[in-house]
Amino acid sequence: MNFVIMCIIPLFIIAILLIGLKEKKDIFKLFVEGCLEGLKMVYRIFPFILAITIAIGLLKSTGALDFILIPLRPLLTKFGIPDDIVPLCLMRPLSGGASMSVVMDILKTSGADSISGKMAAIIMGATETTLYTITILFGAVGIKKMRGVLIAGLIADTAAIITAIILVNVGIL
Amino acid sequence: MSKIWGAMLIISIAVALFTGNVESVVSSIMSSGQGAVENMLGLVGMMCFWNGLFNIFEKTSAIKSFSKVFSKFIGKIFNKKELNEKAVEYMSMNIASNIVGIGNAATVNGIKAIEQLQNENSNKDTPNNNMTTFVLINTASLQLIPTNIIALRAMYGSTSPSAIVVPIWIVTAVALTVGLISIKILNKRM
Repeated sequence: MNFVIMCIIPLFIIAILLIGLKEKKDIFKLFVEGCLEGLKMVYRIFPFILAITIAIGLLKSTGALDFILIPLRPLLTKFGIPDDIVPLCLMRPLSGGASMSVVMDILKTSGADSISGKMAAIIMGATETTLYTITILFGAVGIKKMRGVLIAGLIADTAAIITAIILVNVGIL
Repeated sequence: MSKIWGAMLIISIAVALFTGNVESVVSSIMSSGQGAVENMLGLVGMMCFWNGLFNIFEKTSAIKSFSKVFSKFIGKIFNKKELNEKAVEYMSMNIASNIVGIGNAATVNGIKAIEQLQNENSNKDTPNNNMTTFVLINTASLQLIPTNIIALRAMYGSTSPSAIVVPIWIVTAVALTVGLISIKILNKRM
């Protein structure tokens, strides 16, 4: 199973190269052109990555995040969310790196097969860094208004968290 | 965007001023800046590689049959009048990369897809319904095999590291459905 999964990407690379060669495309030239375009893309999205990284970093290091989270904490615990999962739920849409380290911490202290360990792994695997994704995609084309995307994304994340908690509590896993 | 980003900065700095934690402001900006550059440097090589490879793929005939697989699904969720053929191709490649779990390829194809959607958008400041829906799908984690999480669970001694795969599929499906319904409703109101 593991071996098959690891083969998917290498096989995909080979398949593209073979199809290109078979159709007599100049695959080297196409590859290099694509790389240059990729470089331009990175150049274009970097300011947005920087803006969001600085904002998240400031929220964390100044302690502002704790200020915002303190009132939410008892509310979430009331809904049956284990105490150590709460920071993950709040961090997940904002920062992928930070939530990954929260997950590692939970797995280390509570164990990978504990209730919170399972919940943390499922939440981490079933959600994305919502704010970051929105910033990059809209930033790339200069969209300034988000309309309902952020709210819908956060509603989806909340649904993910609730479902994960129910699944683990019901004992599906 | 401006309001949210501005609020994040202003609230942070205000809290720092209140708590006397003022030095942390500049040092945090400095370390975030450094972190963003390091992140970017890590990203550049893979983004260039995948964009190069997908550039070959795009120019072959295989892309047509490939995007056909996804076009049924895409046609159901998106407004077809504001979709060109290129947009469907890039969206297919974006969704496929997400499913296979090549994040960098998903990013480059996602950017190209949203550029195509923006071409069909009349108000360049504000996303149309197709754009909001497309971004929403990207905020869901479509990855079929969450390799990172499995590895992490194995590292911390789980007896069955891949047992979370099916629950993750269920949770993703619920979240994506809820997200799509929410964006459909919000598209009409916002």
